[in-house]
Amino acid sequence: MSFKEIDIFSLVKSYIDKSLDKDQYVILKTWLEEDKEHQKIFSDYLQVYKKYRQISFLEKIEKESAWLKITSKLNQPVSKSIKVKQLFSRVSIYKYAAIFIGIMAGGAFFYNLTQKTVVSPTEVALRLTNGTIKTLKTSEPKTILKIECNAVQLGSQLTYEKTSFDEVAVEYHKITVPYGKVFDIVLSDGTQVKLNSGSSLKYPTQFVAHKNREVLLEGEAYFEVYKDQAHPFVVNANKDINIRVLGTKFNISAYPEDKNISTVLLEGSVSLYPEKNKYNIKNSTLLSPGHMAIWDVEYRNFSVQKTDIEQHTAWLDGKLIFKDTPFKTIRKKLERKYNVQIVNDNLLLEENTFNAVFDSETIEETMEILSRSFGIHYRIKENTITLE
Amino acid sequence: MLETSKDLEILQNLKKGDEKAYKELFDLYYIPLCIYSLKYCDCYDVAEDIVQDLFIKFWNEKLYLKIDNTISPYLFKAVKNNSLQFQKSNPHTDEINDYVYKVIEGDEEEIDMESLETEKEKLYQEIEKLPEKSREIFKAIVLDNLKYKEVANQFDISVNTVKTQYSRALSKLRESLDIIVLLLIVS
Repeated sequence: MSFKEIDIFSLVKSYIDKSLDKDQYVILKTWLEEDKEHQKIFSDYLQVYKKYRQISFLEKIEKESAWLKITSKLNQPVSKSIKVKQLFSRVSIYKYAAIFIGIMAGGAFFYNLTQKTVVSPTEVALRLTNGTIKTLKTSEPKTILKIECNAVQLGSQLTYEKTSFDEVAVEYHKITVPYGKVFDIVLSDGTQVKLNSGSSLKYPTQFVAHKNREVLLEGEAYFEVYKDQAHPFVVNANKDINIRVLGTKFNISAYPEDKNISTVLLEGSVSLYPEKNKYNIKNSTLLSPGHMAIWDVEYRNFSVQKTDIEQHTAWLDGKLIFKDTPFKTIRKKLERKYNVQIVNDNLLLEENTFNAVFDSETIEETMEILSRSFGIHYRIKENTITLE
Repeated sequence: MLETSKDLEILQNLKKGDEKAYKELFDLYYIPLCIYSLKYCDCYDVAEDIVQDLFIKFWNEKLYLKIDNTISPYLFKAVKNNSLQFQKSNPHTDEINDYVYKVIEGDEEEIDMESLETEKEKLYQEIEKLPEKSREIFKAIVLDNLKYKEVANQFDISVNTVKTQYSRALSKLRESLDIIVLLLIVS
């Protein structure tokens, strides 16, 4: 390719950027008029550029949040029977750049967190920058609640209006999800987060330009990170480790183990490193698809192993899948999902491992299945289940 | 014009006051209209804003009552006008602009989801054929819309190298442009 052609590329790009100055314009125009072939080259490049811009746009459009925005501005609302599709369908998994789940297994920690909170522990709570706490009632699935900075709540989903990155420090919001509930958040960059029961997420209402997009997670969450290579997305998990999203198309998920933080990757790549360290590719742990990274909180190290992804993403569909899972883990997961307390004094049973799949059963049905399959006896009194 | 009958049905139902038809209209045209708008405004956010505003206006002002035939020509025309209005005119480039609109209007075929998906696949295949370095740089510039300088920083190379690699990618893709167009006609 000739040197001249390279210059012309620059001019074409500047033209597209609208940053072409008068001199450059004259050069481009002269070049175009010089030869019919030049016009052909110019229009071809322009077409290539436009085509690829279109397909990349196609990837980025989020129809559901657009529909939410539109319907929130109609002066005569459309019938409530018109359902907005759930954001986290199976298909959508492949639509977004990054997906991962970060899980804190420290059950005791959460227990304290949810027990001591001032807000009613049965409702999702949103803490604003100034410390005020708003209760987000999810029981009325179709109410739209407008919250400051153009966030719209629709049932169990809170959507922040998509905004460009800010130059200055921003406001932080924090969502806390009680036991027995899950909650969806769409952040201002388009990233989607599903928070599992007994979890909280702190995030800026608008991200800062030229800085990492940073959020704080305690508990379990599933992320679909909006692709933006100029602003890496970093999840700080339990103020202990950072999970940094790299690359283009990948999915991550994590799985709770006692005293562990685990991250499971579905597709692409992420890197993990202790929070105290500054990010450096050389000393962070890279994860490849189908693998899980386990951070041992006590020994402060990562181990990586192959894993079965479905097990870790089942909760997104309201399911629980256990494979060789110790009873104590099953117990904690049931407590979170059903907002109950399960008391077990049988230490032998705590360590026993089981295989089980639960779908839409009630807690009563679930306990009945456990009882029949594994010979476990129990009593239910209000929200407490005692094993005998 | 594959969607003509669907389009007519939606219009009839809207006039009857059937609110579900409004959602159907959105499902049918939201993405194609956004893609169409981008041709003229070249900015993702602006494109979506324009299309969303149009949908809001269409409902709030009951614009469907004024339409007799299909809805789509009205929607596409409105989007084009609004997108062109946004295109801040740069006095230096007006003459080229005229020329550019001729180029981009050259492929003014109806946009529908099915052809968009096919096109997307073909174009991605073409990107994958590029040498790795130019591919990454091309993606950063065109798909992520980064500036040369940002790309240079990110890949830790000079701006000139970015330009060279980007040009290589473009000229390779240009070679396959005819194939892409052909494939789309055949498929």
